[in-house]
Amino acid sequence: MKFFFDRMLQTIPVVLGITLVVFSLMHLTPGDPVETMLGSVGHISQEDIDLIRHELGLDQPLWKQYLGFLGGICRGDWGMSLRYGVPVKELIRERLPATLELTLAAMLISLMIAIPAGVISAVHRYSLVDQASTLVSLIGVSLPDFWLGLVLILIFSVGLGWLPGGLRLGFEIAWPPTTTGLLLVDSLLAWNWEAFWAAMSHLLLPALALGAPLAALTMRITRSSMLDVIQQDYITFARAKGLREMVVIIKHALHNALIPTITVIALNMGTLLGGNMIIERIFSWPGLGQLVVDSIRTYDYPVVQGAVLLYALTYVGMNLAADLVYTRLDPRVAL
Amino acid sequence: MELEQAWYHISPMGATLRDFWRLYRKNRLAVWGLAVIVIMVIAAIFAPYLTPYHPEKPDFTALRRPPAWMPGGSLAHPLGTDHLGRDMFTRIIHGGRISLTVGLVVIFFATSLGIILGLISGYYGGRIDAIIQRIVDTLLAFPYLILATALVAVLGPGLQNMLVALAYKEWIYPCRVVRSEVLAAKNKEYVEAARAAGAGDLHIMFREILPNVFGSVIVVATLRVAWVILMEASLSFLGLGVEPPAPAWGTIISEGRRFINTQWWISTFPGIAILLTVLGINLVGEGLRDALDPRMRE
Amino acid sequence: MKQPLLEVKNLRTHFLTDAGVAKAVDGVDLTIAPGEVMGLVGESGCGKSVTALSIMGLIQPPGQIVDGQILFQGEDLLGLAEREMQKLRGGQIAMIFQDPLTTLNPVIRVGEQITEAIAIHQGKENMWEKAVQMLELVGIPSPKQRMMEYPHQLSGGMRQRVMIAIALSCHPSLLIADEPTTALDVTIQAQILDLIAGLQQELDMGILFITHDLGVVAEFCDRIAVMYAGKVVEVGDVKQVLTHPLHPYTRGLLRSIPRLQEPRHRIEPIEGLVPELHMLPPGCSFQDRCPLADKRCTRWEPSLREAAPDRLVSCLMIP
Ligand SMILES: Nc1ncnc2c1ncn2[C@@H]1O[C@H](COP(=O)(O)OP(=O)(O)O)[C@@H](O)[C@H]1O
Ligand SMILES: [Mg+2]
Repeated sequence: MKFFFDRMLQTIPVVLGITLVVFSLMHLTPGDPVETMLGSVGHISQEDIDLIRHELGLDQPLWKQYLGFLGGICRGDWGMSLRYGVPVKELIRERLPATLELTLAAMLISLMIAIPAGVISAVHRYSLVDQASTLVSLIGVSLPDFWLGLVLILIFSVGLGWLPGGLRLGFEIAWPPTTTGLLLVDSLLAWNWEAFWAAMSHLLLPALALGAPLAALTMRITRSSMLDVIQQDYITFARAKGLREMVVIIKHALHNALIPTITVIALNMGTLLGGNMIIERIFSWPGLGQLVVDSIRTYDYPVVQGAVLLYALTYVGMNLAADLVYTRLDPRVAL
Repeated sequence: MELEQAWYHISPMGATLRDFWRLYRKNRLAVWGLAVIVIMVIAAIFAPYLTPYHPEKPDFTALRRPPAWMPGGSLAHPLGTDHLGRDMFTRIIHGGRISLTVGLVVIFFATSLGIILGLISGYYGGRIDAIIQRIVDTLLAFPYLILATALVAVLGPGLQNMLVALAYKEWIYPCRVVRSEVLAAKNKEYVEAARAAGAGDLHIMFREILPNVFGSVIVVATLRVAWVILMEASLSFLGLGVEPPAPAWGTIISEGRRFINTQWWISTFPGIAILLTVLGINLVGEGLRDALDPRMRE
Repeated sequence: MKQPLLEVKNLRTHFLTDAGVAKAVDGVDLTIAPGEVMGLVGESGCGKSVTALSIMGLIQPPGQIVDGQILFQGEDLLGLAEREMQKLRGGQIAMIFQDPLTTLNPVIRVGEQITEAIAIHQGKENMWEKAVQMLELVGIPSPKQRMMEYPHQLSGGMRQRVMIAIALSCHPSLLIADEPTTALDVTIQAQILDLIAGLQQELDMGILFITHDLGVVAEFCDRIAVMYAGKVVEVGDVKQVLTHPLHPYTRGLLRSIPRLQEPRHRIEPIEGLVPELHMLPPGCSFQDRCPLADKRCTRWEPSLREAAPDRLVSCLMIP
């Protein structure tokens, strides 16, 4: 636990740095942010501009603005959307479940494919299976995810007509009552199988496209750390006990190989979060990523700020969580 | 192994290149990757002379032609044309100019900055190191694409702003590599010797240490070019990169999305171009790693 | 003579590497009687560990047993299916390794690592108690607590004892000990040797004791086999071989150990290097370093034959 506590302390400067970067985004605009923001609206009087400046606190010295910004975040006041006139927090809360469901599904799918593939590759090194999955993972890390999304739509939606190519649930299906916001969970809770399968079929393609780069990476890491572990003496010793090969690989080798794998996965979580924006756009997925892109288009800076902040904090949180898993997996760290 | 690592400052140039090629060639895929990249670069450089068409001018007499091998296609437009009648092949090789330029320029500036900060961070240590490393950690916490998107959002779209937006975070990768290499090199004999001979900090950093860590820097820089090209394509796809009608690959894919049901080739071919380029660069990067720095191999 | 416990005949284990075929073990013959301690000595890289792993059936690719027989209580292990081999491994034949720091799985509790071995060979019944007893037997204080600990919480000597406990938990009749004391410091080394010797008496095991410490062999083994470049070159009773070595390589080995009584005595290592395994010369592999070698040695490969009563030697120059 002490290790974990130390890690928590270490993230404090990072979190402060994040808020600073996010805050400064607003002030990077060449020229006056308010004018840029209102640029699309047409002509506006100087008084109005001053009024808005005052409301946004832009007439105060920078450090005061920053402190105000920081205080606001801590109090849960993430500002107001310029476009919708509602609190940023509301907007984000509305969009978050969709993104969460997509991200979790992508993570699950990619780990479920990549870890077994990496293990099999390592165990049957140089075999045909190994070469094939190495090639696939090489392609996977080089593939633009948005293009993969389009190709999946082209094949499975346009071509074969097996799966829908967008939205969370078709128009023809009634939404289950919202409890968690995660459609799969909600439809299960409502015992609504029709909605469940519909949600599942809508989720599959975007989750695949989003998870592909992570899967490719995870496979490569799992393979190389398994190769490393398999050569260790304790694996030979485990075999010398008369354990079945399956037990040796899964209980003795994989457990050890997962330790470095987890770290790498956590460090690359950013790919998944960043991929959101793109994949949501392609699949018309009403999530946070779409919100960011739309807000950028409409110069709705407070929303952009809020969402970027949330993404960064999520990334930090995920890495902390990975550390927690890490301490679970590796007894040597816990002390 | 020691010998292999030290090739670039011991052996005379000719022997050096031969040695390098001998090691590089062992990685078959890396040779293929190099071939792909060479073709891409040549196509990008000579793009205007390779086809008779203009990449941006519409041609309303040849709208949405399919690729040559499909019914209705012709060799005049081997990969077909888009919704404005522009030749896909022409647009794609011109798009390569954009992608490769962005990749190289961003990596050039980011690597230069990263080298300087990494050297300072690793060499001096202490407070300056702590500050630089906190900045690195902070930038690391932002998902790459999201930070770049947000930056383009405030800076405005366009080529120059996209370069800034990408380099903003990109420098931390060479910085981290250089720093850890400097930490390892700092106490080596040759550094001690230089110091004993009265060399100044700048001399030691740039003349003694840098040449020794250059192999790893090249490897990282190469692999990062691939990533930057992917990110450039993503930004262009979101409409935040080079502005249409410029034929950035991401832009073409984005435009073709509307026609995915009927003219699938518009979105498909530029994606293949991205895939080949990025894959090629990744393979070259791994080949370089095998040849320049055996320790870094997975 | 009664049936030997283990009889290895003409074992050949090769590694197919990029550089060529490394003939790590190339015609090893060994016989161990029940309850006998056989020392296997030789310079590092001569194929001792590969011999041990071949007997255990644990050679991994690119390694491959290309020829020979391994008879355990009369049964050829090389003909067994993997399933049957698993039953023997850790049951009838056990193995301990050199480095206690790397041989226990760092992420699994000590208790689990013992009980899983007991569970396979003796069933899950009372496995916990049996494991505690084993730890007690190998001299681990407060064994019940130790069961719950992870390897990194134990000292090197303790870990070695745990490894021995695991290996012996199913009362094997053959123990293969691959340099079990090399990584330990001297006092602990003596303790572990005493422990193995005591358990050997108690359980009446045959042991293949691999080491390159001739002092340990002299003290602990009944017989000795000397290996060079993948072959056994001399076999015999320990005292006989150590006092009257016949093979020139054995003589060289004996000369190269420092005498404790004469600290200033010059060490005379055998000249030359172990030849590269994938490009051995034709004829005797020791020819380049051998003081006796002549033309015949470059032409004919010697094989083990009885050169004196109860003494096998593989050398053309020994009458
Ligand atoms: N996994 C392997 N791959 C290739 N060669 C190997 C492998 N394991 C062992 N060898 C070869 O077998 C020879 C003998 O090794 P080993 O039996 O471990 O020697 P030792 O007598 O020191 O225990 C080594 O010199 C090496 O060339
Ligand atoms: Mg050995």
